[in-house]
Amino acid sequence: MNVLSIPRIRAYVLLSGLILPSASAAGAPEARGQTWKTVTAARMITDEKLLRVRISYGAAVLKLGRSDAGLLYRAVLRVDEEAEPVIEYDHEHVHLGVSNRERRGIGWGDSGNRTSGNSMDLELSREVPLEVDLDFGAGRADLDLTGLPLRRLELNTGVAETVLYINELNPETMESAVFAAGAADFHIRGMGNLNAKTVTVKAGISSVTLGLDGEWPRESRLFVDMGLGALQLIIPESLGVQVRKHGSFLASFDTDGLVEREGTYQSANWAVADRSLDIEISAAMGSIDLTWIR
Amino acid sequence: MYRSSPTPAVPILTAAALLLGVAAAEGRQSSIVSSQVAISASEAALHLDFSDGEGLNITLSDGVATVNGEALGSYDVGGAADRAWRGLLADVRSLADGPLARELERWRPDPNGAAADLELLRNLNGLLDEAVGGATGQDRQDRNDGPAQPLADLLEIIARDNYAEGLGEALEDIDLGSLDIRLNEDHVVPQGTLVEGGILVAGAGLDIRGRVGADVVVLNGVMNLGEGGRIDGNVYLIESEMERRDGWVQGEVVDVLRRKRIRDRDRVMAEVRRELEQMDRRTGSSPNRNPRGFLERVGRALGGVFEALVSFMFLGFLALALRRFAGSRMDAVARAVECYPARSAGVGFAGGFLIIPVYLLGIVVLAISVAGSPALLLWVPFFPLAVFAAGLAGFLSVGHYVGRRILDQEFQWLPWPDRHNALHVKMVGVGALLAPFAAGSVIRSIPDVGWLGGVVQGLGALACLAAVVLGLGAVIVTRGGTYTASPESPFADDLDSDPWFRKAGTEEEPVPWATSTESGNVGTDGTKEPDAPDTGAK
Repeated sequence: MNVLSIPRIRAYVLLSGLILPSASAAGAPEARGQTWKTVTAARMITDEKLLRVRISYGAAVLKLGRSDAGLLYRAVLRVDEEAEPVIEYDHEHVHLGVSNRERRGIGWGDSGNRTSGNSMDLELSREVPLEVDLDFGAGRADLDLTGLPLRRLELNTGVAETVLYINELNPETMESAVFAAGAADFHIRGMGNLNAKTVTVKAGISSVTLGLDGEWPRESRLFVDMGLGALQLIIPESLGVQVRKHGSFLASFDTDGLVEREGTYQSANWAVADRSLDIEISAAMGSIDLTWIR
Repeated sequence: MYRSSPTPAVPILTAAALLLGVAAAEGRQSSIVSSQVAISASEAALHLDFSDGEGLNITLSDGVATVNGEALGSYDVGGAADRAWRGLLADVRSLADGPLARELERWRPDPNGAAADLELLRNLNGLLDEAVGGATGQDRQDRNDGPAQPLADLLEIIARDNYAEGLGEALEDIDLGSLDIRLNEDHVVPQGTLVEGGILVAGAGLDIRGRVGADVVVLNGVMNLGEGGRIDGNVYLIESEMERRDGWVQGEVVDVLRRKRIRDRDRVMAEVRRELEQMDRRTGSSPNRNPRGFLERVGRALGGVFEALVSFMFLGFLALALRRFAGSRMDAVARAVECYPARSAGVGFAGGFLIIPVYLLGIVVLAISVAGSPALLLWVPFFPLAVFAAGLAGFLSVGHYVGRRILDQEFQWLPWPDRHNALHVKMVGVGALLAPFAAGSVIRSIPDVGWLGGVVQGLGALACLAAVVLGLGAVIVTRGGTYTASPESPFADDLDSDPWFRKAGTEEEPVPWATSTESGNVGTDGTKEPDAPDTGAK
């Protein structure tokens, strides 16, 4: 196992540098005299065949959903006045984030009180295929991907509480979806609706809940690389699953509902299920629990 | 501050900008493809991109108004011009494309404002009119020339789930009895008239020039709020547009479908979060979906604590037996742990790797030698047992070290262990080493933070593994406790004052190396400490 994987390194860095200011910011009132800037941006669909979206967002609240018909995107950002919202569009590419004027960097922005009231409410087109690359630092992210035609998805979170939800089958096929969580609470519901051939979840020091409900229209593989924390898999009983577990003995694995066969753990319906998922888990320390749902 | 005293350059620039705007508008049938509204304490800016590639950027910042980077004039921060411009941006920031263009074109500055403010606002108004004229004209023309919406189409629209739900939501807080409903027919509220109730118009236009005393709902239509028009309630738009000419809405203007979609999204996410919280409160589930309730959690936690207690008791009996039958050797190992921790750890680590090769090599050597064949019968079962025993003895010795360190802290909540009793000291240390397993079991049963229990148990396992390696090394270093470490060890007092030790070699019947000698150290209880154990030489 790659002990020093990127999310793990990021988790350690974030733990040392971000948890305290974020935590203090969470419970602290807004900085005295702090002023805010609100930026609303919208773009209509013209001749775009694809939209590549890059979101670099440091802290506070992020909401993602689908837009009205005809809109390519709509974004409402509320940031500290000292920060500079970044909304850059070049043909079929859009970059959204926050740049700090003093640091001249895009992405993480400031920490502490200056970002505690930040928010970004982003709506993306439901008509143009999307490739989304999202870096989210600290705070809370509500990502409703229902109705978004996703061709690629990569999500990196730092010290964040992230809920990702997709209630309808993605009309586009994804080669891969990658989720990397540093030190975070990370939850996915409706993973089967991502319509991805492979889904990779990398978690540093995290509590990760993966809802494997959804349609799973093709044979898919799920890779989970856990550092330290808890992984909970919510599995529909109708889904055939096969689990391979690697890693240290310090990661407990609750195999309720699975049968061990030749070094792998399979659900009873693995051979006959209409939909099947091959899961490979690598965990260093923590627990892996299964929850079965109808 | 840059004040709005008109300079010769400003009117020229304004005129040039207007001319450019006119030329651009006349030359294009363009639409707004992108808009950006930024509002902060010091700045209020509007940026528009048109489908023909042109752009318009109007910024009022720190008292200076600029158009596409060129100064247009100045204004008082917080003054009438500033407020009017911010009011416009606040109204249009949720709009896009045609509705945005129309709202910008409709905007008119208050003619009663101060002259300087009025001049600037008129310039801005002119710029906006010319810039967005091309973006609204075609759209408006299409609408005016279009056929009336047939009732069948209207019903079809209402029947569609979203609109029906949206209509339901819009009508939620409205007194339907007082509602003047107009289906598929244009309706005008003339100037000077008052409609006391609300109005619902579907599939048609609504022109309000008088006053409406309650809410207005427009479904699939266009509402025009003319000059002097006033609505005391809210305006609900469902697939509709609103054009305002200086009219006034006391309440909110609500895009019902958009609000509904956002509410739905927030509701779904809240449900997902609630569901996840419920999931998290379970420690897992069986294939037949038996939820693990409170009692099962408590049972599991108690089971984990019981396991740790059983291990503690087993190790306690083992420590008792070892004190009774090999007390001096255990003391020697404990001294090695304290005096030579690094060497012991290194030897234990290497020993851990060499155990299996040595075991196998021993089997091979004994098997191929004729004389060794009988010894092979002993080697095969007893070597692993000896290693296991060495590991346990080493673990207990490390427990002694840990216990001593804990008791040295003289915790008030830990008064009962006798720090001069080696068994007590060992069991305190062993308890500390096993505590993470019990604590982890309890934490695992707590919703939301259960995963931390696994972490605590994992760390406990690491600590125990380290203790076994260190202890095994100490056993090897002391050759099974026959070679003692320096008597300068701070452990000397509790090791030598141990009752079992005294029992084995009391003042009346001392063991050879525990007798009073000139070179011996005096223990805390006044007994003399030996320089070497009885079983081996240094």
